[in-house]
Amino acid sequence: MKKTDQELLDCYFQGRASDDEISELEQRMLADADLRQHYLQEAMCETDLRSLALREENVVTIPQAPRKPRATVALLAGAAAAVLVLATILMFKDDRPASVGTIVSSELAGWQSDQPTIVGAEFGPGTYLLQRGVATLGFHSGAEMVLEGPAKIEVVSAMQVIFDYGNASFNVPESAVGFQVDTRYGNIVDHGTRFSLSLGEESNEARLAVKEGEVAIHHHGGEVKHLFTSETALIDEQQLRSSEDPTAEGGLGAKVATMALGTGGRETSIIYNDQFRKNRLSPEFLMIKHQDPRASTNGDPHQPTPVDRRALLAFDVSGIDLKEIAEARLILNAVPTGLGMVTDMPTISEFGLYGLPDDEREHWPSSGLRWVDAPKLEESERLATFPVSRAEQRAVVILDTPELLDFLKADQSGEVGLMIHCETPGSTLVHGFASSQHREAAGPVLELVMKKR
Amino acid sequence: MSDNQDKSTLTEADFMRLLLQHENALRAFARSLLPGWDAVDDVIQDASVIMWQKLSQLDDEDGFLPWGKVIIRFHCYRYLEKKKRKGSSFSKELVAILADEAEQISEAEHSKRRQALESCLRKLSDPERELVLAPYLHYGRITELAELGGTSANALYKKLGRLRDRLRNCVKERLAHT
Repeated sequence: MKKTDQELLDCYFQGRASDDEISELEQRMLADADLRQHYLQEAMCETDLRSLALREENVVTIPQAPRKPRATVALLAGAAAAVLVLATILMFKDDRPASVGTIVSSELAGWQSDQPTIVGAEFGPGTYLLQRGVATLGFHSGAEMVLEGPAKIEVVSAMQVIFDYGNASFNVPESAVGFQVDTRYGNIVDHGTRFSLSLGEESNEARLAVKEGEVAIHHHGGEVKHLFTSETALIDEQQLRSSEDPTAEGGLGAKVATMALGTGGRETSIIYNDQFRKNRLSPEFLMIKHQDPRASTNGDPHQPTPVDRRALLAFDVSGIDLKEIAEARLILNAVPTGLGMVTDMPTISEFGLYGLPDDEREHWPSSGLRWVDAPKLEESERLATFPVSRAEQRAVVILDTPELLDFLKADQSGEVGLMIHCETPGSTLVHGFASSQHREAAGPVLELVMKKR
Repeated sequence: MSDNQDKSTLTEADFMRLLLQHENALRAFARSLLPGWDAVDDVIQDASVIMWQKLSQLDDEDGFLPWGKVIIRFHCYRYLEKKKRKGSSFSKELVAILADEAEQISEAEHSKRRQALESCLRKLSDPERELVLAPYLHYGRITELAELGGTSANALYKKLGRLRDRLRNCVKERLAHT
């Protein structure tokens, strides 16, 4: 029997809807504005119920809380890069302080947690997400953990950590013998040692390497194995086995590092008729436009029109071993510029991402650049194309073509320059992508995944 | 330098207060666009970092909620784009429509609904209230309750559906009288 709208909504919000049911709900919502309003009201109700449920659970699951629980929200700070990060998690907890260790060091670390994460700060039990960088946590038990982001851990006590994912090295002195690291596949109990652990967020096995000393691994399946100096093991859902993988020896085997680069302000837009520059190029946007030449007064189909715009951006890749890049993704946020009419545009506009030549043509100034002085499209290499719908001016574009990867790996100058051009002749609309200065959307990001080491 | 920089005099304390004040509205907005709570939590965490970094570009407190929604919207898009091969979610077209419509919902409206809901929840018995809140605690909680009560999960879901209907009607009635 066909489900009612409400039944479909209930299944959807309870996570029980099949693909067919989600598709059915989608079709009904596309056709029915009232149903969409009802859906949005249900989403509000779901959110409020969840908030109440979590609040009540915290109240009842902290039996030692002697006083009425209070709401706390804490401010966090990443140190070296001055990356300030905020937790939005509403916590209800006991008033007593519960420090289990100190943040010893923070190298370009970006944290998300409900607790302070500046160097020197005491930390307590709780969940910690290290988005990037490296941080060292010194537990009061004497154990030390060097964590490399992206990583997520839950600190239980000075002697126990639940390791969700990430790469980490542990140094456990005699005072902390018995220090325990729980993973999704089993628990590792340290008997005085140095060891490293690597477990990807979506990986199906954990890699453990003992540098010195002894650890015991208790697999969830019941098996227990002891590892000694220089021994390694792979742990997955099914089993626990000694690793034959030489890359796992002596460290964080098969480590995959990802880095995200911003432009750092190396971005600009250019307009063919430079006299429009001052009041028509906002630093918030990378502005792109390709007007149909037939609409222009000069009428030359091979020339840009006076209002044509392109965007230039660059990333500093000096210090990165480009040969080691395994994957590369450029992420752009399309945003409306508010300039021009949507309705007289083609339904879809095709854009091209171009790589600038690796020579002096890359050295464009980040402000005041004139079209005539800018790198030329015809001298650049097309690395990717992508569509943007006129009806969807807010969109995330992720470009990960082999051409982009090859272009990055071939760079010699330490900076890679890119240009965005609209390939589809249009009308008045000015397309936009968020620059690093955009007030809402994130600017361009170049994500690099390095080869396994 | 952007012309928009240094407009705001909002402090860290202001930011935390505003985030706390609008947290549920922002989460509801993200839930409208995303298929599950894990996704919502991920997106809210990432978006709050960006909100913090861009705080100086916010004109005033009144703009916090709409501004936050736009930032969350981008993160939802990004999340859906990255996860598009995993699990089911709505099409980009529908998500964009929902985002446009959800951006129009004010804090006042959400707040009225929340108060009505809390008031209606108080009318339920303790076991009824526990059942209504159970799906949000952890996956499988309904099944656990079913086992404890010697009934089937399906029967409990049906009961939950009826309780939610009662709550829905109660909220509707309360809102009609405010």
